[in-house]
Amino acid sequence: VTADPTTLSVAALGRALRTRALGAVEVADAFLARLAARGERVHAFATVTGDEALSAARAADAALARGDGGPLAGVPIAVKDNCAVRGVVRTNGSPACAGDPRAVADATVVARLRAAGAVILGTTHLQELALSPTGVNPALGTPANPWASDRMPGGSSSGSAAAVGAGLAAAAIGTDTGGSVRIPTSLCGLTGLKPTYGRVSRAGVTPLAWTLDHVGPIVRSAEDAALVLEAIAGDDPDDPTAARLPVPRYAADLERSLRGVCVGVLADVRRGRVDPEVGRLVEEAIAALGRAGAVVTEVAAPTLPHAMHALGAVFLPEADAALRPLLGERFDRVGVEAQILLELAKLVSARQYLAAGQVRARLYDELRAALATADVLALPTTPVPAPAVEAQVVRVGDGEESVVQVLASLTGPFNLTGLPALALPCGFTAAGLPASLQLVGRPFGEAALLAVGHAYQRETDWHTRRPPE
Amino acid sequence: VTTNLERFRERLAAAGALIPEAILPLVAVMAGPMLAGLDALADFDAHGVEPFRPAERLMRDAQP
Repeated sequence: VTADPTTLSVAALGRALRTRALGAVEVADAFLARLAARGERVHAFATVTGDEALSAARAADAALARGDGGPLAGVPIAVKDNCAVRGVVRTNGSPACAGDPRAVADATVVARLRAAGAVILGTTHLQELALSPTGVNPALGTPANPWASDRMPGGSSSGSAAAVGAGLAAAAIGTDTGGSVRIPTSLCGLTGLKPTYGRVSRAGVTPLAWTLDHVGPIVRSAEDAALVLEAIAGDDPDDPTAARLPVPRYAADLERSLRGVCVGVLADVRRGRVDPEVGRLVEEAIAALGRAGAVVTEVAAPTLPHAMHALGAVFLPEADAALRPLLGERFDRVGVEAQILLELAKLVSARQYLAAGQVRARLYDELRAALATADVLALPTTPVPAPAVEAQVVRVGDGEESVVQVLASLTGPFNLTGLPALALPCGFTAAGLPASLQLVGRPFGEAALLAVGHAYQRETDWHTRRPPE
Repeated sequence: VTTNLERFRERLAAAGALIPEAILPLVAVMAGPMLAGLDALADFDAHGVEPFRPAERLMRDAQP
């Protein structure tokens, strides 16, 4: 008896499809049926491309029957609605773009998924213009956190995480400028990867901040992240920042021992402002890595406290410069919160923007030095579990802070430095909310990073937990 | 005595930024940490390091 396809990982679905235990049309039908039953409540999807998905599934079945299906043949995947999907209106999470013409071509990431045989189910909601990490979108609706509907899903790739968490897609594509793949991954109890800057092409993705933008998968396991990354990574003539480096066989290189692997723990973060329950669960995860053979050591990055200042000084003016011309006359239809953020960008001086660039260089040198000793760094993905949907501030340590600042405080440093970062579920708080371990690797060191994540998931079962129906 | 709100209003005016008056006090509070962070960048001792260029630097240090 084969399990319900909507409960399976990308890896398990791939195995079932290749052995013909499941058919691609059968899998697509199962996901579309679940979408029909639960889609409205979860509110993950902006557009469902059901007919196109079934057509792609039929093609995948034919290819699999011939024995030449791609690596993701028949696997249903959703795409954040700031990526161009042929024939679909790209809303960018904003009413200002909801009346735009349909895309005439796919973003490179979508084209690569299709080339690998994936079945594109549709596009997923996001925070307006991907500008903030809460996932709350008053204009187009807030996707439901699968673990607690009164809690933020996290953003900006809120719909991508909600879709995977609710079993409405086997995997989803997100974008990450200050943590927008990893934050919803953390709050929704999933696995998500922000690859190295330049590892995945951004061609056809709405720009937010050119020197911070990344594209990555939101999935259920490190193994799934490896499978999706392998399909979407690589050079692209349409993106001048795409790295001209070969793409390793990430999935084939996952089975490594942790014996002798050095895990660096950032001392300032360990003793910093982190919710006590999240801190304890992350320490338990690090201890689990140690029990599996890893050597745990403390490392330092003295510039880290300046990272969030630098993130604001880079993010705001780059977003303003990218989005205002793109929106043109539609800017007046952008929501108040997004308009205010773009207005505040005017307060950042050229001197501050350049100083932020210097902070980035210093922070990168410190993290590279730490990664000369350590194979990976370990820290929480978010300092807090999912806040209440309406929260403006959250309590961390002995005080309250802006929820936006807190959510991005431990992810933003790796957008500034471009280092790859993997978020993995590592337990639940007493209130039943997920906590997340973040592992950070060397430049283009995704293979080693994913192998450590996979080894952690061999030792634990947090990634197999499913939210209540 | 100049209040934080007045200073915020002056700062917006100097930068040509427009925030509706009705929500100015709320925005001033929410933007406070960001503005303090921007000011703190001026005190960052960068030792003359060149600003980060991610594509170039990460490629140079690539360790696949």
